[in-house]
Amino acid sequence: MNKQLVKPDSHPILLAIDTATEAGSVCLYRNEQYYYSDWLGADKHVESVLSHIKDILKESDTRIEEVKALVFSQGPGSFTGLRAGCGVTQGLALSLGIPVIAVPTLLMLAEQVNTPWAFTLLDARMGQVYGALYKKDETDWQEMIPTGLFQPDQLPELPNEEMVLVGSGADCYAEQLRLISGKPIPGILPNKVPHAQWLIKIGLRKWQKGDVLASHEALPIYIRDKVALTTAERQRQ
Amino acid sequence: MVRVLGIESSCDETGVAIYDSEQGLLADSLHSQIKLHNEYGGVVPELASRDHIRRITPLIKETLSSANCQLTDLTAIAYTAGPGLAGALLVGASVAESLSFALSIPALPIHHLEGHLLSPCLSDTPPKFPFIALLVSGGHSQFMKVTQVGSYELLGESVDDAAGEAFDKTAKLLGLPYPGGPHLAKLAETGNPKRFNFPRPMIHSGDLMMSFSGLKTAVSLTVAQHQAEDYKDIAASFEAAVVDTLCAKALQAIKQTGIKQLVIAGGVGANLTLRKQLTTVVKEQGGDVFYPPLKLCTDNGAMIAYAGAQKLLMGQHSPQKESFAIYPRWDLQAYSTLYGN
Repeated sequence: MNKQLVKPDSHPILLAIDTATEAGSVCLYRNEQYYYSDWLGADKHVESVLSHIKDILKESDTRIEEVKALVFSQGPGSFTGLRAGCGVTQGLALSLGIPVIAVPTLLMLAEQVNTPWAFTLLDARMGQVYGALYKKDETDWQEMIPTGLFQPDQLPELPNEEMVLVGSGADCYAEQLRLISGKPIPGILPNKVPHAQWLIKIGLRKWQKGDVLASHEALPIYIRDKVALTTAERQRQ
Repeated sequence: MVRVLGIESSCDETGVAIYDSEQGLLADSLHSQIKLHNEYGGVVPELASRDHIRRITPLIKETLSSANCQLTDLTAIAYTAGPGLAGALLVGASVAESLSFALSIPALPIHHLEGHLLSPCLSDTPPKFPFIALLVSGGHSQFMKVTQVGSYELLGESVDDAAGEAFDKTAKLLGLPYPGGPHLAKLAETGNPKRFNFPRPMIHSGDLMMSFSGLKTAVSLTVAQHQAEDYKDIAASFEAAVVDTLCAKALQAIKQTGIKQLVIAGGVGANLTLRKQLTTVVKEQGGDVFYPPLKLCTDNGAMIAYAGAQKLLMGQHSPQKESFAIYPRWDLQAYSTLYGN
C-alpha cells in the first residue's frame, strides 16, 4: 500500500466508521471534540451507517465536505459488516476526493488498555478467536504478533511482560483460554469492545505520520480465507 | 438532460456505466468473476462479495475516465438494490448511497429485472411501449407486460427452475465447466436436436406458466444411459426442448395480450438458437422481436444507468429516506410502488 503525503494539520476534521462487530458506531472529530453515535445489531449496519453519519454531522454543525479523511476498521470481524463500512468509506472518500485511514479492529481494543502490552482477542465464532499482540512504545502501539486465528486453548506463547487480555474473545472464552505451553494466562480486562472513537484516536496518529490510503484501498482484512471447497476438493472428500 | 451513473453488483459481475439522455451510453465497464468461481463449479456468494468490494471503486474511476466525465457532472446514482445475493448487493448499495449523499444528488434503487427488461431500449432498434418482455436468466423465466417504464404486469413464470438454471444444471451433468449455459450451447451446435425427445413441460397448459425441473430429470436419466460421445446430441436435444417451450409460450403471450412486440432479456437471451427460432415464429405472426445488444444480455451497469435515467425523465423519484436498504428477494410489482406507480 502506498503512503500519501498530506499537509500537516494537527486538528483535522476526521470521520470514523466501525462496523466490524455487532456494535456499530461512527465518530466525528472536530476542534478536539468527539461526536459519536452507535447502534447494536450486525444486521442494522447497512441501514444505520449513513443515517448515523448524518446525525453526527448535524450535531457537530459540520458539512461532509469539511471532512479531511475517513478512518475505518479494516477487520477482522463480521464479513458483511466490514464490507458495509468499507463500501460507505470508499463512496464518501471517492466523492469528496479525500484519503482513508485503515485501522485493524484489534488495535481498537489495545487502545483501551493501560498496561505496556495487550493481547487482544475478538470472538471469531465457530469456536475460534482472532488474536494479536501489541506493545506500546513512546508514541504508538507496535504489533508483536500479527492478527491471526487461534483456538482459545492454543494461544501463542506470550512474553513475560506486564499485560492484559482484552476483547470479546477473552470475555467469551475466559474458561478455555490456555497458552500452547499450558502456562497461566495474563489477567483479563473485561467488557471492552471496538468503537469508532478509538478509531479517531488511532487515526489521528496515522494522519500525523501521513499513513493514509486512496479511496479504493478501503478494503477488509478477513483472516479467515477458506470460505468454500473447490469442485476438486469436494470430489476428494 | 440527465446523466446517470449505474452500478450493478447483484451476482458475479461488477458493472458500472454512465448513460446520458441526450448522448446515450457514454461508458460501460464490466468486471466478470467467471474465472474466480470456475474452480468451485458455481458462484460462491462470499467470494463474489469480496471481489465486488475490491473492484467497484477502480471500475467507477475507469468508467468516469473513459466517459471523460467528472463525478460532479452526474445527475444521479442508480444501483441494483435487488433481487440478488445479499452480500453482493450490499457493496453496490453502500458505495452508491454514499456517493449520492456526499455529492448531494439522488440515489435510485433499481430492480435488477427492470434493468434487464429495459435493456433492449439500448439497441439501435428499440421497441416502443407497450411490449411483452420475456426474461430468461439463471434466476428467472418470466413473461411481463410492460406498458411504460415502471409499469410491469407479470403474465406467467416458471413454477420451478429458471430456464438458465436448467441450462447450468444440465451442463453440469454433461461435465461442462461453469457457467454452463454458453458451453452447452456450443456443444449443442454439433449435435442432433432430434435424437432425444425430451419433454416440453406445460406447453399445452393454455397459460404462460412454465416448468423446467422435469426436463433436467429426463436429461439426467439419459446421461446415465449414454456415453460421452452422445453428449452433443443430448445438449442439442435439451436446448431444442427449452427453445420450443419458450417459443410456444411466446406465441401464447402474443395471442393472450394482442401485443406483437416481444422483448427478450436476460442471459439466456444471448442463446443464438433461441434468438433465431423466436424471431422466425414471432415474425410469422406479424410481430417483431427485440434483443439487447449481445454484450448487454448478461448483467451490466448500462441497463441500471438507463433505467435510472428513464425514472428521472418521467419524474419518478424514490422517496426521501434517511437510510438505505437492499432487497435480496424483491417482487417487481412491489418495487413499482417504491416509485409511486
